[in-house]
Amino acid sequence: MESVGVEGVANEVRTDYESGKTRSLAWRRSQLKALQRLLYEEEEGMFTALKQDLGKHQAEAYRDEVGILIKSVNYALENLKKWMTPCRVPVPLLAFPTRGELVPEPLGVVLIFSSWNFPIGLSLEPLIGAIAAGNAIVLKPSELAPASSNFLAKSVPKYLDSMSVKVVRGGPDVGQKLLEQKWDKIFFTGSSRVARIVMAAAAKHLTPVAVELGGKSPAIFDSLSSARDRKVAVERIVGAKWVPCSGQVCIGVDYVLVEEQFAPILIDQLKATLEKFYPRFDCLSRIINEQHFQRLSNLIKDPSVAATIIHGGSLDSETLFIEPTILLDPPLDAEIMNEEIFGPLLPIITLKKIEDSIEFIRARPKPLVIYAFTKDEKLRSRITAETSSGSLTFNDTMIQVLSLCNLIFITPWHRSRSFHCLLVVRVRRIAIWRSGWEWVRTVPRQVLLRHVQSHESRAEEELPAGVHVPVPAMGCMEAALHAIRLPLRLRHSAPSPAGLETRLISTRSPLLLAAMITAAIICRNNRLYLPFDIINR
Amino acid sequence: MENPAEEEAVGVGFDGARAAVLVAGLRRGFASGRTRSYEWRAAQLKGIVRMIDDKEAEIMAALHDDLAKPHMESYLHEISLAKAACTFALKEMKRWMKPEKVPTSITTFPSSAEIVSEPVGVVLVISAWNYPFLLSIDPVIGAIAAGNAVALKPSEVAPATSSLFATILPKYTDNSCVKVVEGSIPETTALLEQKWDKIFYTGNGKVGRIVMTAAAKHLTPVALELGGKCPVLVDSNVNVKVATKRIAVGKWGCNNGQACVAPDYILTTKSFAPTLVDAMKKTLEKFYGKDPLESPDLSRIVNAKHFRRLTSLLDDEKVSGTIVYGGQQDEKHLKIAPTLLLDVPHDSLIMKEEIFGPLLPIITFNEVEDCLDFINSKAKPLAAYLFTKDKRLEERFVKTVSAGGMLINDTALHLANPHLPFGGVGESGIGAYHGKFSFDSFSHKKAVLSRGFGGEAPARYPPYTPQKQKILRGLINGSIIALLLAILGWPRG
Repeated sequence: MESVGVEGVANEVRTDYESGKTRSLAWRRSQLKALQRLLYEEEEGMFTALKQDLGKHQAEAYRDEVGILIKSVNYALENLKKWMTPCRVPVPLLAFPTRGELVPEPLGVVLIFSSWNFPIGLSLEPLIGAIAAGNAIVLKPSELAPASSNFLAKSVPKYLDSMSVKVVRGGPDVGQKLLEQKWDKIFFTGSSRVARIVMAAAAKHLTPVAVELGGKSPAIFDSLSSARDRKVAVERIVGAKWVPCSGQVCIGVDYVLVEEQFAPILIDQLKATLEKFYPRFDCLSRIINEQHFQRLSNLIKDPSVAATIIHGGSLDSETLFIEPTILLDPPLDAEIMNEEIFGPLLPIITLKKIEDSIEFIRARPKPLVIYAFTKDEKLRSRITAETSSGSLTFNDTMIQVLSLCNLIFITPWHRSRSFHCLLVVRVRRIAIWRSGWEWVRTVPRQVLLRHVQSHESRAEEELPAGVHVPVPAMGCMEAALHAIRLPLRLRHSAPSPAGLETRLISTRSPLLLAAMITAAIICRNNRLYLPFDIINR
Repeated sequence: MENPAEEEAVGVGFDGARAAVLVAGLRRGFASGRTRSYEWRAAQLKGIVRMIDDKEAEIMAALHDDLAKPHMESYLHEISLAKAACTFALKEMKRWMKPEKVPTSITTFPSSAEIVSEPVGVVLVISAWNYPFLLSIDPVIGAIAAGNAVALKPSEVAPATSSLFATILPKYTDNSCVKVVEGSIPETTALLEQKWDKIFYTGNGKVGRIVMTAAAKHLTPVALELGGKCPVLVDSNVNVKVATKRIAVGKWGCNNGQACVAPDYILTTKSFAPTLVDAMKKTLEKFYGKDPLESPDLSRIVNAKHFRRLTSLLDDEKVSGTIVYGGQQDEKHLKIAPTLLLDVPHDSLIMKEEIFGPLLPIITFNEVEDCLDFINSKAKPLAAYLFTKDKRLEERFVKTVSAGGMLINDTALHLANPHLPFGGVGESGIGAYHGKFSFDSFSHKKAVLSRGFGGEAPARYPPYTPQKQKILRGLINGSIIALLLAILGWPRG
């Protein structure tokens, strides 16, 4: 697209935004609905595009991109109205009589840059947030995934309001031209090098920026004693290294930290799992392009690194395919241990004691995610308190994005006003902890948002009444049965004494309730909250 | 301080090398982990409260030196607010620090999820001269409450307050993790070259851009608290006596207009303008007497440069011809009287730049509707004020006007509410603070998801089969049947 085009697009979208139509609930809803239709109707098109760009298997494409998008869009549709409602905040006596209110308002015209590894997911995910917040949007998908980029350019205008949501295709030159325009927010996913350019360009117009980058995300692997746990843990690591897009994912496991004596056990398990998962390699994505293939093969070319390969290592430059590769203790000053790998190579670093992993991680730049597999409560709390990362997941990998709706993914949180930040709006919080009362309440979303923003649970009358029930150690089945009969027994019971772990229930379905109780027991939480409206039914 | 080199770093001849030493010192302090504990944070905040109590007289004297700020104003707008922020943080901090449980989705069942607030690390606070005490200490309070090591650079344009900070803050706080750097542009540049984990800047858009560009080099997040032309829309149905009093106190009672939330111009209807001007004149006479230049209740202009800037706004004949009240200047004492201008040309400099002084243009339109369009045609302000009794107009104002904050039927008061975020949007800034929002501004919200080893769903893993895809679809869509099948470990293999 020519420069005139880019400028024209920006102006067109701004004029459209200024007409005010994107602010209405009806517009937002219709656009989200349209996007939902797109996701259902164009599923095949997306699968084909992803197959072409990355050799991504259909199942993978659904799990990591399409499925998650459907979930997000449904979640946004469900909560849109609540998110848009202004919330009251308490005012100090000095200002009496006044009332304070937080009114979410759209930022304006938003520019989204997405990356090539999840070319559709990472384009449409921020788009959903931006639409829900009532913004007009220009989306520039990555030129390195041309098929997906073409798909978006073709289908987005077909379903969505083509005046206020535009897709611009092109390479760095187009990106540069886009950055010269004035935006009200730039949402960037990609590498830290480009992020610096984006942020510097944004400074010119004082545009707030959300950057989603990567980093070397470590997995801490404690010496798990049970063979079953080991198997599950290793499957989950493989699930985060090779399964999604052959390691070309920002939240993939970059390297594993393990105790010296435990390393052989881990390696055997890894090899066995790889064999089980990949009897043939058609389930593995290929490397995106020549350049990245070259970069990855250079990482293992160095003789001191190549010598540490203990599994895999074969490359096929024809098909841009790299076999799952494991390295044991590559030199720490080698490039592979200093750059984000972003490919199917997995270094294993051995430590004297697993506790040393905290030091190891702290000595390096903050990663996007830390994964830890451990059953040791003490190690767990040390990792939570002493390391710093975008997010932290215990005993699993990757799935934090699946619960994205409820957890903040990475964090542009510093813009606290919910709608001002595209992502923060998705933080759903359903618990208010009253320190004086030691019980937890389930509250409507609106109250919660207010609570998140003010941390003041004034609106007590708006909370549904309920009780807090200790769940004794009992069998799952028994607990589940109990849950359904619970109402009768609990109606008059007093609030229980304080407990540290709390499980919240906000559902009305008895079956789900039973499942949740089971979960509570599995997770070793000993408390449940039941709102009266469930109990009384 | 054990290290003499560090001691020297804070003072004259501060350059890049010394800035690096300073940051390294702060980083060591932060890495030791002590700033993370509740006890450390509380001790520092208590120290600040003590400092404010002990040194109240000195602070007032410094503010009077810098701006001839009346003591009443110093207490009301700076000291009391700073102390309130501190005690509010002390009261609420434990709750803020607590990890926040969030529900998990059925897809990841069984699991538990929480959001853990952790300090971002080493932060830099650069503050402004108009409220030199509050605007310095308020972000520092937030940074400490969130458990960060912090360097404060007070504005050199308010030298008395700046040097007061350099002497007293280290006495009341842990001086290995809370440092004050005095200086002007070269010192600030040296500081900005360093790698910080967050930069909090209060000031103007021009420097804001420089700060953000410098931050981009290290991908440091920034919070920018800037200003903007804050409009006041006065409807014709208001109680004009109350309205003018509130506007006057927000304009001239806030540091003689040198406040980022002070009303910058008034919009009203042509028919109502004479009534408003009359009432405004009466109010001003009541507040500041016949000769406002002699009034002890009016701050002076901060320095000669700003004095010249303000008088040059009136240079244009088309502008000075519109003065309907005031206009007196006293260059020796840097005082300018409250000045009202009626219907200045829209393209004059005074309507383009943030005034930041005691001049108040009144712009009139035939319809209230046009006023709204006028506001929206300008850059987004930090605050927008509306005086009206008409609920419908209020609703429309809130809906159509974009601004950092909004206050109906009063001015400037909204920043005293710790439950409301204070910050700008667009040209008026990035990020917000006050109360919990300060804490959040200086915290990283870490997502922590925890699972057991149960609930393993083979459907996640290759080799992919059609059955697996079906289960996965069910799982992602939250189907209970799929969940049960997945829990049972189906399909095998």
